[in-house]
Amino acid sequence: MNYRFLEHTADARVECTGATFAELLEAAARALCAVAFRRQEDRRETRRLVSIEADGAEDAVVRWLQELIYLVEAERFAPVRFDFRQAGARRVEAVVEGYAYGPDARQDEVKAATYHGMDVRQSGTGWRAEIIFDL
Amino acid sequence: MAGVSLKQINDYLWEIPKRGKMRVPGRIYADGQLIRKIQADNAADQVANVACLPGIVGYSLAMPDAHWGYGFPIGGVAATDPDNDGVISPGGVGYDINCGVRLMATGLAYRDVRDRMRDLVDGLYRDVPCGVGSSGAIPKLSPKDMRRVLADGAAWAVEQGYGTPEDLAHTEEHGRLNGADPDVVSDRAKSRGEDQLGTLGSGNHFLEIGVVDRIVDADAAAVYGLREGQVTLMIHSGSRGLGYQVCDDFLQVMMRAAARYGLDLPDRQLCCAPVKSHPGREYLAAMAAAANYAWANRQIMMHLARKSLEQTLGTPAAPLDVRLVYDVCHNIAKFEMHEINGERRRLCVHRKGATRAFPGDREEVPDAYRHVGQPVLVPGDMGTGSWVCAGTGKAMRETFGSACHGAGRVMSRTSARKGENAAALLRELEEQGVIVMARSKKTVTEESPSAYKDIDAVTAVLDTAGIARRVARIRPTGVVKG
Repeated sequence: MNYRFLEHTADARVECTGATFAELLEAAARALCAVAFRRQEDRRETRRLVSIEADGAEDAVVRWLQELIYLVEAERFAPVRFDFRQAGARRVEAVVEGYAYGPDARQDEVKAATYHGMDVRQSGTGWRAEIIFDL
Repeated sequence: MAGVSLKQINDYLWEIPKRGKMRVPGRIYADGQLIRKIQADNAADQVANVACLPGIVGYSLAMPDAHWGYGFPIGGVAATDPDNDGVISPGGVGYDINCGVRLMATGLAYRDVRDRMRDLVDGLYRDVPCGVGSSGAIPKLSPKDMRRVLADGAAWAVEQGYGTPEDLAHTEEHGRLNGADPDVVSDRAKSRGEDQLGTLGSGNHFLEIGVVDRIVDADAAAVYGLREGQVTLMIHSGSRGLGYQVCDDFLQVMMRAAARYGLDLPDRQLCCAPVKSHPGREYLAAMAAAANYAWANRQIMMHLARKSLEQTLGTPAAPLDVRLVYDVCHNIAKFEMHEINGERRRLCVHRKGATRAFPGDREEVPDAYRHVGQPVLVPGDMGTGSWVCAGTGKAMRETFGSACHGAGRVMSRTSARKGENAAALLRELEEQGVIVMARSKKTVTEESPSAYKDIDAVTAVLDTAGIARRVARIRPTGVVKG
C-alpha cells in the first residue's frame, strides 16, 4: 500500500509514493478508492480507457484522479486494476479494469482532487505526491 | 505564504498586515479562543494567499468559523473590482456551488410531536433520498428539463408543483441567479445531475427537525415567524455532482487563463481570470446555472419533507403550515453594490463557506424582512444547536455584507472517527433528545459534535462584532444524515 492518510481539518489528505510515475498514479488511484469505497472486490468485469493530457506532473496527477472520480461518481464504476500504456507528466493513458458497484459499496462522496497543497516530487528513491481530496 | 503574523485589532478582530505579494491586508473575525483554533491549521495562510488575487479590494476576510480549505479558506470572503482587473476564481466558490441552508418554520409545537419524533425522522429518512451518490427523488430530468432547471432554478421546481410561489419570495435571489447559460455547462456535468435533483448527498449535509429554544431578538423573530417551542426544519445541501463537475471543468479553463493573463498566484487552486474576460464570463454563466440547480434541489427537498410530515402525522398541509423562513447560499460569487473609499462600486463578492448578511435597507432583502434585515442561517453541529441571525449595516461596511456559514470544523475526520463509537454516540445524542438516522456509521462519528467549534461562541463573535445580530437559537431534535 503506497499511500498513507495525513491530518486535514475537513477533507482527506494523502501522501502517495511510487518507484515510477506509473506506480505513483496507481497509488493515488488506490488512495481515492480507499476514500470512496467501504469495500472493494477483485472483480474485473468491464474496462475503461482513461486518457489525459497535462502540463506537468502535478497537473497529470490531478487530471488522472479527476477522470477516475468521474468514473466512480457518475458511471458507478469501481476501478480495480490499472494497466498504464503511457504515464508521464504530459500524457497519461491507462486501461482501467473494474466492475459496476452496488448500492452498499460506497463510503465517502469525493467531490474532487484539488490542486491546493499538491506537491509532486521525484527523488533518488522515486516519486512522492501529497494530494487533498475535497469531500 | 506560510507563517503569517497576526495583529490584534480588538477582542474579536485580527489583522494580517500586507506583505509580499498581498494586495490588501487580511482580517479574521474571532475571539481569543477561536483565533487559536484558526491558527492551528492553514486557514490564516490561506487568507493571506487570497489577498494576492488581482483586483481584490478592502480586505481578504475570514469569518469566525474559518478553517483550512483548498485555495480559499472555508469561511473566506473576498471582493474584486471588475473595473480594475478584478478576477473571478472558482476556488473562491468551491466545488459544491451554492451549497446552502434552508430554514422552514412550521405550525407545530414541539410538545405536541415530541412523542412522534422517531416516526418523523424515519419518515424524512425514507422520503428524502440521502447518502453517497443518492438519486431518484424525482423522475430523471430530460435534456429539456435540465436546461430549464439550469436557467430557472427553484422557479422550475415550483412550476412542476414542488412548492409555492411564496417559497421563491423567501429564497436568496428568488432561487434564480441571473446570467445562467445552460450551454456552457458540460455534458458530463449535466449527466451527473440528471438523477440527483431532490437529494441530500452525504458528508456534512443534513435534514434536521429542530425546536426554537431561545429568542433573543423578539421583534426580528416575530417578523421571521419564529416563536419559542416551535418545530422547525432545516436543509443543508448544494448542487451535488453537477456543481462539482462545473468547478472541475472550469479549474482547467482558469489554469490556462491564469497563465495567458500572466497572473502570479501563490496557490494553483486560486487560478482565476479577469471577471470581464471570456473565460471569466463563461465560468460565471456556468456557476449561475449550477447555483440554480442547487436552489431547485433544496426546493424539491423542502417539498418532499413537507409531504413526509403530512404523511407521518396524517394531517393535511394547512395545519402543519410549513413556511420557508429563508434560503441562503454560502458557496457563491455574486455581483453586488458596495461602498469602497466613499464610492459605490459594483464588486464581485466571493463567499466560500460564508453567508450573505444584508441589512433591511438593501433591495435584495425580501419585503417582509426589510425593517429587520435578512435572515442569516448559521447551523451548528447535530448535537448542539443552530442560530438564526439578522444582517446588519455594519456588515455592509466591514465584511461586504457577509457573516459565517456554520460552526466550522475543528477536528479532522480521522481524529473524530478515532475518538467516537457510532452506537455510543447515537445513544448519547438520543439521551440528550436528538434522534439521528444516518446511512453511514462513519458519517455519524465524523460529524460528532466534538468535531465542530462551539456554535454559541462563533455566533457571539458575529453579534459582538456587529456583523450579524443573533435572533433565535434552534436546538436539534431529529437529524437525517447521508
